[in-house]
Amino acid sequence: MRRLDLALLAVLALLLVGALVFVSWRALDSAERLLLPELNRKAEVVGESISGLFEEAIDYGIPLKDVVGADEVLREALAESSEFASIAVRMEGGSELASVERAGAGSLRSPIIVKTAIKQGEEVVAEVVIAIPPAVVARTIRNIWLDVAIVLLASILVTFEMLALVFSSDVGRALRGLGQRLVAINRGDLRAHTPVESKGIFGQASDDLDHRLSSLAKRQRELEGRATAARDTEAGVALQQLEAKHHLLGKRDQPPPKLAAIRAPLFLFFFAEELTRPFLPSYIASLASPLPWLSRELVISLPIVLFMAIVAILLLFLNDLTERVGRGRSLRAGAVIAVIGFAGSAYVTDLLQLMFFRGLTAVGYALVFVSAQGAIIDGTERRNRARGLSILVGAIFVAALCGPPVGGILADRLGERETFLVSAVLALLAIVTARFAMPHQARPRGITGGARPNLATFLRVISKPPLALLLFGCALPAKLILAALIFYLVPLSMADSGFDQASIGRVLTLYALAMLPLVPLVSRFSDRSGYRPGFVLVGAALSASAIIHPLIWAEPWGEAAMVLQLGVAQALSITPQSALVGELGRRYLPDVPEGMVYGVFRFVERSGNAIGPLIAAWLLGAYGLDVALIAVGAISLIGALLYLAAWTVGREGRSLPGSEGAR
Amino acid sequence: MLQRLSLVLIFAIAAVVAAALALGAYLNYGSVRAAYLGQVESRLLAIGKGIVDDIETSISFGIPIAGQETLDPLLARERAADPVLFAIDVMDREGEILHSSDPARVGQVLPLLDAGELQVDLAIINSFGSEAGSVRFIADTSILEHNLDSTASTVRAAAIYALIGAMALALLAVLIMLSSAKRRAAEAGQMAAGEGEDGHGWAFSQVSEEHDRVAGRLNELEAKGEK
Repeated sequence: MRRLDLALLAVLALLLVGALVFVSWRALDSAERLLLPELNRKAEVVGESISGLFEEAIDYGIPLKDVVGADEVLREALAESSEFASIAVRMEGGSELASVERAGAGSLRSPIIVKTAIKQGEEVVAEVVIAIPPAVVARTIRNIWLDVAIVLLASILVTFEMLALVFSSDVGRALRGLGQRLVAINRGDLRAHTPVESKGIFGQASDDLDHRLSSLAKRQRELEGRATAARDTEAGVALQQLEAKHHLLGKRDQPPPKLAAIRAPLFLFFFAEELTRPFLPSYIASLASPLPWLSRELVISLPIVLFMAIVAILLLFLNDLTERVGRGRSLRAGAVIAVIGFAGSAYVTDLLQLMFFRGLTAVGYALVFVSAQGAIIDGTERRNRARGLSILVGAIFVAALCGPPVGGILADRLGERETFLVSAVLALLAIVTARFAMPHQARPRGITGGARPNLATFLRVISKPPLALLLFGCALPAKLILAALIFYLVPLSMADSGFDQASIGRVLTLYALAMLPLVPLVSRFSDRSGYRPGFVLVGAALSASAIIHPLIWAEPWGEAAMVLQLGVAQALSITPQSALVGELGRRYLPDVPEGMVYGVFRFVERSGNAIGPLIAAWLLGAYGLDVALIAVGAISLIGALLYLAAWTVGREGRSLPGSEGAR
Repeated sequence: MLQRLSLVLIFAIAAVVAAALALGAYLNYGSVRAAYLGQVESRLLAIGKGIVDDIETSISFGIPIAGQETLDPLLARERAADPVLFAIDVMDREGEILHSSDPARVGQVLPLLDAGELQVDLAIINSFGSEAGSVRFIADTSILEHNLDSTASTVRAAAIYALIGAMALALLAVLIMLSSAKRRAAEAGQMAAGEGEDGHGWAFSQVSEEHDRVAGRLNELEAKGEK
């Protein structure tokens, strides 16, 4: 029963792979029956066209062997028909008059041959021979396998999220809780677990194990007291060794099991928004009419900038409201607003309408985000808050991983408006699952992240150079370059170059693909090494240099390499940067609550999200793509250099912006 | 309660597997459909190129498009030879049909077709390099869809079989998993009660033994102290 849900997920993943491979195999089989005759017909048409030219020459009295330019005619025909391997004109008797073939055509095994006669009167004097590779059908539809693989990956991730929801039910929680206990006990880890609060055989078994763990802890405590009283060093050492090995007096810092249920609605909601990522700029472009005082590029950026600005501002103010109204109810209200926003975006006829509905979606997004964050903070304590918040971060990452490629596929196959409707349906499902996941009102405890920063706090924070340089030199440029490239420049420039939405989505997903495995690794390593400024600086330098790729590689490889490097770069800097803010806040502003310092940090960071597309759009319209890329890279680099300079000066003067962690 | 969990699990799995298979099947079908229509379009282009060449040659001899009387029987022949074709029209620059495989269409100015319907347009260029008109091939979408029906039903059937198979195996996996979970819950109960600690409960027995040893030692010390 070791991690039952993961075992079940593995089985389901295998079943999905098998089922989708079976469907693809049957589709390929059927495609061959449909496409091969069609290819034959095309070969006949091309063959007749070529034979007609030769027959015309014969009619003019030119002997076949004297026809000039035959190779040129065949080469042109082969270039126009990418499915054919070779075209030849063969005389009666077998000698070749002219022949052209693609590279590797000579090694083809059992090609499909289509012959068309060249006649002089009624007599066949030669024939046009066209060879078709037998694997042409598989090659023709092989692009689909990449799409199917993406659907498979997304399905597995969705299954994982749905299983998380199922396992957050009463009995599911007990089952998972029992599994976790058995795994831990088998490892020799005898720390206390968060109670599963469930009845039934699994709940009972978990309670029994908890009782046993608690009685062992009680006995350990009692014996420690007796050993101290008796001044028995040997017994004391034995008990210490036992504690070091089995952590009898420790408590696992898991978030309450019920809290895990919130992940499914969050995933569905963020997935809905991420679906729009690859096609949003081109959708806006299709609605944008030129304005005399704004470039087309700037007009396209407006709905994106509006969305980001609304989210950045509302995140500051919504916490109190969601606490008063109730986290669950606010989350559902946010999702309802977003449903209206997504559905409205599908039916808009001009840019103003789109901006209105994207604005609504932004309000919903901010409400959902703040409600979820608040619910997690309400439901956790300081010791397990980071683990709790990882539920929110995990949902966002997984959504960012599968949203863009699936959104791209849907936009290509169904259309952009229809994909907005799919987003609306997903947000609707988020409401339904939120009803199950957050049925009871979390009790407000007044300890939420509600320390809202005001102007005075903002000014105090930015008056401290180490904090100001970290915020404006690293945090803001990091989000600026992210939003400029991922939300705006990459999808727009690739769409302008004729790439389909599925390809754009596949490129965008590389960002989350790099982040997902690296963030926890970097987080652990930077915590252990304490060398946080180094991670932030390397991350910023990598972000800035990522823009080189599209300047030296052809599309889409340059864009893909840039997005991948940006993902690696942000994974390196994101958690160390966040931890540094707390450290610097405690050091330079000990009287300001940490929540307020983080509030300023999040606001500055998210302002970068809004500014990024705006700057990119202005530069793109005024100076072109290369300059836009170089400029956003330069902003990131200058910010990092300023922070590096301050860090170096600070280290020499023993006043390091963040260097207290570098020990 | 266990039955309820099984039902919820099966329901959730069915929903996800069905959605994944539906999208996967649709992508497969969509891809074959796009490839097929691409092939038809490419073949029509090849036929059209020959017709356009003939028309351009006649124009270069000074015969205007409207005066190329041999075009109507040629278009009718090409149309009859290809069951996929609905009509072939030759139009002037304003879009008025001058020749057609269907004589009833001559003289009409037809609007563009809706997206999704297959048509192929080729420009007719005169000796001065400007556009003199165009040739339009219109495919019979009902025939195209009919040809695609068998692929659609093959993919649909495969998706249904795959769904049934996947669901049966998922059901089996859920039942095996839950029955194993029940067995382990019973074992956990025994372990908590201090029985069967040799296997997974080794840590319990190790800690209890060490506690007993330390307690025995402390008892002895305390007894000595009292004396």
